[in-house]
Amino acid sequence: MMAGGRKLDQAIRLMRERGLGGLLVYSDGSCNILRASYLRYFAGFAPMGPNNCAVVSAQGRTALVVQPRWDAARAKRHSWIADVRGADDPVVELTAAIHQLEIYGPVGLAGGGLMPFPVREALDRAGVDIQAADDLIEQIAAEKTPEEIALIRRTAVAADAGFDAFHAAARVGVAEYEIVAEVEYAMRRAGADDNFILISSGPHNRAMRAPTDRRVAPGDIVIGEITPVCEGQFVQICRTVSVGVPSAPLATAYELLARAYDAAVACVQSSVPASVIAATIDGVLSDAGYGEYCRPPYMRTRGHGFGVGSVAPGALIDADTNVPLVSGQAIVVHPNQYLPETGYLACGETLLVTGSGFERLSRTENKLYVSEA
Amino acid sequence: MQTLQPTLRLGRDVWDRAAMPVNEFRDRTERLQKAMTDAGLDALLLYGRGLNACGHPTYLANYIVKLPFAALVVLPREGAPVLMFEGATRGRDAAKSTTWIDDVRPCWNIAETCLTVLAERKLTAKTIGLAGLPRLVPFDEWRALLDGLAQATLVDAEALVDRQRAIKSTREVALIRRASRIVSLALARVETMETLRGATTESALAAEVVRDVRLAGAEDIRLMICRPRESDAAFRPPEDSAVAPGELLFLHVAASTERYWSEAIRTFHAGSNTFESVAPEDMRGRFQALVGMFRPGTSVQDCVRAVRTGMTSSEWQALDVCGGPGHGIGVTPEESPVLSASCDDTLAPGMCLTVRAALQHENRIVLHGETVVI
Repeated sequence: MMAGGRKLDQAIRLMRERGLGGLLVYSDGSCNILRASYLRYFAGFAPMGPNNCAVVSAQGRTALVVQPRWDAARAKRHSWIADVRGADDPVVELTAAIHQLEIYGPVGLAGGGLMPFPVREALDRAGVDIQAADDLIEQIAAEKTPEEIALIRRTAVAADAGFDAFHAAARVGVAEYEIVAEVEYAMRRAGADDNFILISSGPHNRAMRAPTDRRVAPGDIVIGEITPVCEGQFVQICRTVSVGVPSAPLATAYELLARAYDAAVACVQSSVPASVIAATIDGVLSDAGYGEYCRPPYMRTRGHGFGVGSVAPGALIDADTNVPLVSGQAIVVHPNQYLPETGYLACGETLLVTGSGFERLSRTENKLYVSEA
Repeated sequence: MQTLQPTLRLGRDVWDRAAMPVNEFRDRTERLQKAMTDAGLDALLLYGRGLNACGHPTYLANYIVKLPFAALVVLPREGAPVLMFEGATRGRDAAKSTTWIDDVRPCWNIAETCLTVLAERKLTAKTIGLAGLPRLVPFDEWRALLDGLAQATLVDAEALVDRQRAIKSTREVALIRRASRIVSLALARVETMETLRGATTESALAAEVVRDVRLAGAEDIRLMICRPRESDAAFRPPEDSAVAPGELLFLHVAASTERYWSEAIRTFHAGSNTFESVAPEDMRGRFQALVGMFRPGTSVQDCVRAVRTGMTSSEWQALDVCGGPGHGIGVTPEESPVLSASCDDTLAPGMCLTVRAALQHENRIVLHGETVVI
């Protein structure tokens, strides 16, 4: 069970500052690399069912409503919230908990963007005065504990194991889905409880995606976005493998991306606007004559935050992401890019932001890798 | 059974047009359009969200969400459907490689895109059937849709879609059988694993099984464990705890291939060296007798009552660890009909169900589950 004292104390303080009588932290049971799971962070529990919610009163009383009903025992073991209520009808349980915890007045709702209409409508009908409160949880999560930093480092170890497997498997004759199977296996063995892996192979890739039946051929470029998840924490590395000796255009293109990456991470430190990362990468590529490729569909983003308490909201790092970086954030910087000579290339990794700069989390080198043709 | 959704559906993503040709989807579309005509609907919205509840759009489009986002198919009573999904425009090519629908629109605002499509087809003031809406739709998106459809008549059409989805075609059954073979492979893999005298953890066991299932071509896999010696035991995702020799273990494996799911539950005994399947002959016989009650023309209620009667109270209660005796299965791991005493459906040929039973054997409860076709 995770200690929840700090989170609860901060939640109570913030609720009182905002004049909230209570706080609801909702989850639809999904785990999304692009959208924070506030319930998982706050309650320390990953729910399975479609409607789950932590209920907190301004006086510090708590309850956790989970679906399905039979998952309550697991919730009790994982969460610091003692009052766990397995629900056949989560709306009934949720409104009952709000009443029983004597919550009156405006109620903050975190994760409400995913709450389906029938649940929210039932809360409205019950007279609950809902106010959006995603930022309340983000504020709590901004300060990282030593345990959370240790979890980030542990997840980075799994990412390295994943890349080792990716490099070893990216060989002639191996199907894309077989490569992904080996990467996932390696990361599970290294402690990941979930995985996000995108891949593409071919002489000229357009984007990364789910794996197909395509088998790696001599001269291919194999690109991968390798992202293990440990207890809700993501760490990502993006790598490119040349199957056989890299062509001159490929070597040149990758050197350009590596240069853009190095320039961008040199700017990373606490209090620097995240947009500087995107601007720096775009600057290096534009100077090399690829300015028109610095927008979709040739690239998506120059990086992103991971989950709660990282670059938020929206998590993406682009030229408009003016929020300052904060010490303890895990962010990924990746000048992943389509270039006309080589196709899409993957380059980048996750960094831990510090007061004076950043800490590399990956053991593997950010370079163009080669496997035997 | 409800399971933990992964952050990404990361297995083999292909569309084998020989196994599931475009004509299959045209036939589904025509049958739905006929049902729409009978129900007086001008358009049908098929909405799905997340990795467990995206069945309606997948059924018609063959498109599946990889991340836990939403997808929607707009099907007019006459004319071609439109597929939209939450995602970046660069995902269009990958989506088009697995769907027969020509008009594919990636977007970040499903409600807005849906209203655009309905306006293009002059359907915003017509009678529109809803499947998956508003049940799964986030509050703000539903409000936006309602605002844009103030002149329309909205009709709940979920049962119309559920009825058609529940009866599988020959091709659908063939893919479910293929998924079943992958599930069987996973369960067979467990019997080859060493228990390492108590050193094997649940997560290590899961890693081995998942790898083999992926290599067999699974698109998605869910693996759940229940250890009956735990207090308040229930199925849950694997954790890092070691499995002790002599312990009984219930294992649930669900896997999908090319959209179609199969599920099974088996009981294993952790020996000093290996995991041994606990499936004695008398238990198999009782399970077959229970499954034998599921016949075409029988109401689901009657089947469930018969299964209930065929089990002791303690056996029936043991099914609480997995949420009951079963449900339909197809393009989602859990779908209509739900095997409960309150279900009004009648079994029909082509229905695919996952059926579970808890059976007493030598002073202990053994769990067994299969995916069956009616």
